[in-house]
Amino acid sequence: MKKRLFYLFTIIVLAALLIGLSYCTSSNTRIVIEEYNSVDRPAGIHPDYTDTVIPPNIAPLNFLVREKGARYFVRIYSEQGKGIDIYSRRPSIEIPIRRWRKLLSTNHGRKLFFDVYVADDNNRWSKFKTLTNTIESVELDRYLTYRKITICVQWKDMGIYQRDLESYRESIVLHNSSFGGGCAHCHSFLNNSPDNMLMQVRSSDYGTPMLLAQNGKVTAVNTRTKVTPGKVGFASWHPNGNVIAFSINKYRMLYHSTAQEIRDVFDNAADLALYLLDSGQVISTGRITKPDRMETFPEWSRDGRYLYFCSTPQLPAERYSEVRCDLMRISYDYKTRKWGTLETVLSAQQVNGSITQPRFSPDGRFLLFNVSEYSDFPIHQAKSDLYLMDTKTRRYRKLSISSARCDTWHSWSSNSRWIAFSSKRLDGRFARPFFSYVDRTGKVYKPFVLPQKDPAFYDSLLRVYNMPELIRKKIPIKSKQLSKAIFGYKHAPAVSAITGATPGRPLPAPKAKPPPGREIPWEERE
Amino acid sequence: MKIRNSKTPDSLPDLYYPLSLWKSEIRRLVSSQNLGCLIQTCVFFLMFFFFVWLWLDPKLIYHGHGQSVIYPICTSGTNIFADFPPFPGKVTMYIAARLSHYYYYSWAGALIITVIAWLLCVGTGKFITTISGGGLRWLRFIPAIFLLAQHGRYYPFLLAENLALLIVLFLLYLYIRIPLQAAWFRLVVFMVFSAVIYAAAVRLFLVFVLLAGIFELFNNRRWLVGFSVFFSVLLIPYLTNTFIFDLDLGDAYHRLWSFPLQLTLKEKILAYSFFSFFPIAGFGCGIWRFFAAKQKPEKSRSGKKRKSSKSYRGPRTPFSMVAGLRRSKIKWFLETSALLILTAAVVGFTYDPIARQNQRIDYFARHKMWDELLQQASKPSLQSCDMFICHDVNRALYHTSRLLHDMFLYPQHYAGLLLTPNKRLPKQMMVQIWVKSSNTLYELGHVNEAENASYEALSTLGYYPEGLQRLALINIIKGQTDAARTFLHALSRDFLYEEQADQYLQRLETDPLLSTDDQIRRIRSFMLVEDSIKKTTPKDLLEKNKHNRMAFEYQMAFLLLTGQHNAVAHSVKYLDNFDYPQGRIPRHLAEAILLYTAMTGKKTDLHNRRINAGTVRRFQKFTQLFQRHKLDLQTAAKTLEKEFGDTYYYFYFFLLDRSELEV
Repeated sequence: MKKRLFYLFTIIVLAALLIGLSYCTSSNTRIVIEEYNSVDRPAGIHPDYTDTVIPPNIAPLNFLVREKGARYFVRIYSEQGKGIDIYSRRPSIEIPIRRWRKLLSTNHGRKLFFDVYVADDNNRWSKFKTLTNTIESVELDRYLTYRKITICVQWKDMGIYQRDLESYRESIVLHNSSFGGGCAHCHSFLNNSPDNMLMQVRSSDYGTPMLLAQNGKVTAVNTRTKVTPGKVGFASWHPNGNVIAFSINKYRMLYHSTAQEIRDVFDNAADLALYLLDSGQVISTGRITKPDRMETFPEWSRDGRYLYFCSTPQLPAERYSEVRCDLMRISYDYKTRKWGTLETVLSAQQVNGSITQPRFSPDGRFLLFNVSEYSDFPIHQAKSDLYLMDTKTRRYRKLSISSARCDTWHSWSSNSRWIAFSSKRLDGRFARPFFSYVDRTGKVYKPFVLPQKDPAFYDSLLRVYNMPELIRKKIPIKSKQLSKAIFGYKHAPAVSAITGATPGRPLPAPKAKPPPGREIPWEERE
Repeated sequence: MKIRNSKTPDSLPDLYYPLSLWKSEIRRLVSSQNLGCLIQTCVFFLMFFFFVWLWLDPKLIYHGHGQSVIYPICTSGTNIFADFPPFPGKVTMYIAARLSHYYYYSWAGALIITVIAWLLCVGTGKFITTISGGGLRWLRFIPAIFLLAQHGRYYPFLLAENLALLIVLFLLYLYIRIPLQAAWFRLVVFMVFSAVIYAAAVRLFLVFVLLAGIFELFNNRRWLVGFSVFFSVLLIPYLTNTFIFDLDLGDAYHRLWSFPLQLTLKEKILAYSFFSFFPIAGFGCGIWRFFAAKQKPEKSRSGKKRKSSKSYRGPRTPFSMVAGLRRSKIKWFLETSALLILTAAVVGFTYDPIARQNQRIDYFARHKMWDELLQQASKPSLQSCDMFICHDVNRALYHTSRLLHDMFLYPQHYAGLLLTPNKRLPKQMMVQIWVKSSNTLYELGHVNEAENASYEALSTLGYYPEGLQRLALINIIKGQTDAARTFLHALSRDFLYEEQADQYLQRLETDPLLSTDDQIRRIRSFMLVEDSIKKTTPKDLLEKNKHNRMAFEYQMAFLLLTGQHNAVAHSVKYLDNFDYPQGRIPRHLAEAILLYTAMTGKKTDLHNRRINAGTVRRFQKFTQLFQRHKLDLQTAAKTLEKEFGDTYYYFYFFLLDRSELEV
């Protein structure tokens, strides 16, 4: 009996010691730094969360202190509310999420300060200059969808994911392992809402459906017709939600022998067409399916009157470095289904590069686009920049936030105040999602990378983030629904192509050559 | 208290061990029969362990042509499959991925294989005993023998499937031990277990269903439950796919029997035999028990004692115990000998020495142990024309400065030099091509092509350490230090390469371009300058840097392998760019020049070099003998092989496959 009591007592003491020890070492320990040396420079932190404008609903910006030391202390505070003290023996600073949210919610429009203290082995503390960020009062859309993929052409591990920006929760929208490998890409949403979603799939087993998710239902649309035989590349929703403009691209990979980016994408053919949701038909016009030109990256103007797109002369692959896209538009009347004339909005010559990926802000005020040296696929360029055009004045400028590396795949938040884009600025190889605040005048502020729970997350991540798209709420569609639609695609009825014109390559030879621009009926798909 | 001895009739009183339960258990264990069994098991698995460790050598499996181990495998990370949606078999795949890392150390790999084999032995023993009612226990060793055969062939190993088998046997054991006998209850438990097995160990789901069905039919004689169990083969994949996974329904069923790895027919037969052994053995035991029970006199319903069974030999006396011990010793000896002989026979029959040889060559190539590689490759009985082996051998020959002297001492393959992808090569070879060619392309200075091959290998194979390291170095060479750091950080998550990665990261702090590193500097000097999207060759590299010896030798080797001795004859002038012995010409080049001169009658400008007199004499002798036999090339090939098999002209006349060149 005595022995048992002794053992019990020992266990209790050990447990108490353990609890005490863990309490002492926990990051929430309240410590007082009475003496410290002031260092006349800000501490190096990674990722770079300094001098940025952050939304009030972003997840905690966990970071690493890049200063040598034995202990670290960070005080995060603003003008109002209780600050957050974090003590750590490691340079990794992980901010408690609840207190972070509270701090941000009570300080809209105010500054957010990070005081960084580092102690050496002799317990001598140094305080670095305060790091400052600004908390914007305008919220960022809560979810970000993106494609995560390894750098390869094998597509063994590729998926569309969505991330809750108020926390670190990430979930799979569709992974290609669900349909036996293949490509899941080019997701787009109507007015930043996941209630109307579009996604393209390329699978050797199940075909190339355009997945259309509306009001909780998923349809696999077969867009292939005799004159649009290719695979759908990029798509854009008409603001009324009844028309989808899409491009059909015939891509080919090129491999560079010495360039920094080993891969390049060349478009062998690209045309545009519209899918009418109400009638289930595909229409186009000869003006956007010219055989001697490539038309790609469709984008509707916010009033729905114009279809903007990028266009370049069709060149042989050997002249890949001469591919330079102009920004063009064509008017379209949804009610009468009549096409207008082609206009060049901005030529490649004007910007001295290739214009791609035009994206209107939801309020229609700005047009964000990409300029690279050449190519209609900028993600494979060593450098590409973001440009902003004021739609009222048509004045455009290169954004100062553009890095010396590739910045591309941009999108707007529903309130037109935030942009998300993929950038290779961290290491030049792997694209990561970044956000920037855009004020009403079009000034764009220093971007910050999507925060992760582990601040060293990106340091060893070998996947790239493509096409970050901001949406207001979580996608209501389950992965199962999407994959089920893919499996059933073989039985999907073909859409009818009722009107059209000179189709892109490969062309069935027309019996009589129609005059340019005159529309001829498309044949039904076999 | 009853003794759980299957050979003691139930009706016997507690004659020997009327003690508490655990004491009786210990005594049961050390009883002569069980002790013998224990010693037998220990002897078997001790030999098993040492055989796997010292002969099969699991580190060869770890490297195994880059296709054996399941990468990614950055072990200090969290869930390596987190980015994947749930798929059947994910759990076992995950555990296998973790465990397979330890194959890097042969002893640890051997320990893992032995433990799996032992657990399989225990699980099989339990099942067999239950079904057969006590006999046929020796069958428990069969899975371990199969495991040896599996590893002895070095094919893409099935660790995930073997672990799945363990889960199946464990859950089957639990299922058998369920105390409640109500049919509905057993069915519910079965459904839950089989759903778990489908989710965690999909490829062994059928085995579980069959074993559970056999148990219900033969042991419990519950026909309804038994057939319901069989019916669940259709139901469970459908249900789990409806509620958990999002697979195509066809795929959900297809995964029940398909292996993810590329196996040859023989390997498939071995793998399927292994997994079908369990239901076949279970069925056999059930039948055996059925007939054994029929032969036994039934216990009278009035409760009278039945006649003693064969195994019960009356009350034990000192005399009978000694006799029994002697009998059991002989039986033990015979059983153990039979087991070892059977194991040796199976292993001997299935063991693939060429596969082992290839694995060893691959291992030596990865560790740049060139002399050992060439020594291994020179064993005539094991020489093969496998293009990956030819590739490694040629690389070793280059690194030992023997490529242009001795390449035809070894078998050659038309694609074995640079492993250029070819339409005629099967798709599953692509991974190996990427893994191996990235090394050679890197050493040549084809940095971008090496980078591309590494990316493809990485995406197909997972984050294999060698690929991460290669990409880190390539990015350093290209001046992309930040990208190199990303690869090194990823590499440092692999506990086997952590130290190496950290060392590189530290060096990058002080010298971001590693400009003092000789290897980096050398390769940087070989890199092409002018960008192109056309396929580049060693010739392009040679034009960029005339001192790129590897590019020169590979170019010459390529010309020899494709029978272009005329081009070789015109390349003698390039020898001056390198430190070949003054006045000499490498043997194979000399042979090509002699052949060129003999066939065209044209003289070659040897640029103040001369051909070794012995080489000339040999060629003259070959020409004479060839003339004598030229009407019958097959006889000529056989006659001349011994004396001239290591020459270019022998290769040109008898081994060069012109149809392959056309492709």
